[in-house]
Amino acid sequence: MTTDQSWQLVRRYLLGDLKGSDQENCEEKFMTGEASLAEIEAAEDDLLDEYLAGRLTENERVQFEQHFLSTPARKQKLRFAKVFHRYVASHQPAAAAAADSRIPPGLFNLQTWSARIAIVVLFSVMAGVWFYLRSRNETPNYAIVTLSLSPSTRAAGAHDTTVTLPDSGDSLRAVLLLPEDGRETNYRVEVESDTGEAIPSRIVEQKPESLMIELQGSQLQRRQYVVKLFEVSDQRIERRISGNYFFTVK
Amino acid sequence: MKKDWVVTPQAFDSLLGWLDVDREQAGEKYEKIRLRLIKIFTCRGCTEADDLADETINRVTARVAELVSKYTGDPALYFYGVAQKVHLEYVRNKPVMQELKQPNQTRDPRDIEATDELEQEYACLERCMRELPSKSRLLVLEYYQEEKGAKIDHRKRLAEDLGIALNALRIRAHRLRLQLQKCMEQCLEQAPAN
Repeated sequence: MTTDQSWQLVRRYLLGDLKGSDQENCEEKFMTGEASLAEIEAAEDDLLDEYLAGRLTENERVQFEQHFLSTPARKQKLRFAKVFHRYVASHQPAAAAAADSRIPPGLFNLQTWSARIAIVVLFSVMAGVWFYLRSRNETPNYAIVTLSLSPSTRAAGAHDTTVTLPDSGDSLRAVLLLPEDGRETNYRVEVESDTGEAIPSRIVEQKPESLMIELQGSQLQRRQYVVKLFEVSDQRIERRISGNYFFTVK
Repeated sequence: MKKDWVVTPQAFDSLLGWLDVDREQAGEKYEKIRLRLIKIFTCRGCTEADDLADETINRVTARVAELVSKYTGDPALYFYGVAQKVHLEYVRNKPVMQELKQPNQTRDPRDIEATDELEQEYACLERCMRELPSKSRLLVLEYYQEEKGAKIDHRKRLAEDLGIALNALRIRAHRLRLQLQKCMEQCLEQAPAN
């Protein structure tokens, strides 16, 4: 039996359209694991969606309303499906935009491995040349410090880290250890001195476990600083991450 | 229905032992069988599917000593046989009231009522969507986007892009949707009542 035939059978079963031995065969397959619970429930989702979209035949619609919707759990699923589809319908452009912003598919559509390898080698060589030229012209000159999120406030005596800027240091880079895997998250940071002055900063690197920010040395004095972390959703809604990062410049 | 038999810890141990010699595996098999029984009773339109599944398990457990020595085959099918009997009794004893449909029901169940409650549900769903990892959120939006007749082709392309079979994609989307439904229900429980 093909997957499509199997889905059609499950669909008829869910509508109460299978009787006698057909119903028993279907249920036995389900009991012995030939069809998984997730497959049955995914078919339920499909039916709910088709019903809401008005794509069921008249006969199916009657079976759906009289048989499928006969339990409270299914009615609850229908209620959720209504809200869910309303959400999806109003977020399609965002999905499309997000899809467009993904990695261009061109590289992965190349038909041969040799073409893919050639492009990867080309990119690697270009990157190598760029890094070489950059290293000749520019020597990074910054202090680096690793900070952990502290649940306390400065007033509560939170432990902070001391950092000494090099004499000719032009910037400070702080590695903020994230409280949870930051792979899928966008962040924003705010840096403030102990006098409440906002210090400009920018995120220069994000890893699953950490975030590196850079502050200009000229903006820093021998003071204590606090770094506040915000999670930013795709809808640009910010949520403050509980806790602070502290450091003191000497 | 015979509801006077109580499952003792010893009888339950014997049931697990019958399902698998490995205790952990036995526990998993037990849970799968229970969930599948609930689903079957639900699909048959039983409103008390959980109770009927438990009644089925109780009856099997009561006979487990005998089954260990006499029954050959997949235990899940034995449970199924007992479930058939439990269902027959349920249908026979079901109050007539439950048989009555609602002939005067005039409102189409597809209609979306513009109530505060629905707005609250929507707000909760929005929150739950934001809590999903962005890849999962995108998958949900792409999978469920309306393309009318081209929906199947669209899903096939999506499955190809992800390098998985269409069936696997369908199940992945379903799991995310289930996760969202649970999240929304939890959110509503925490929300202050109007």
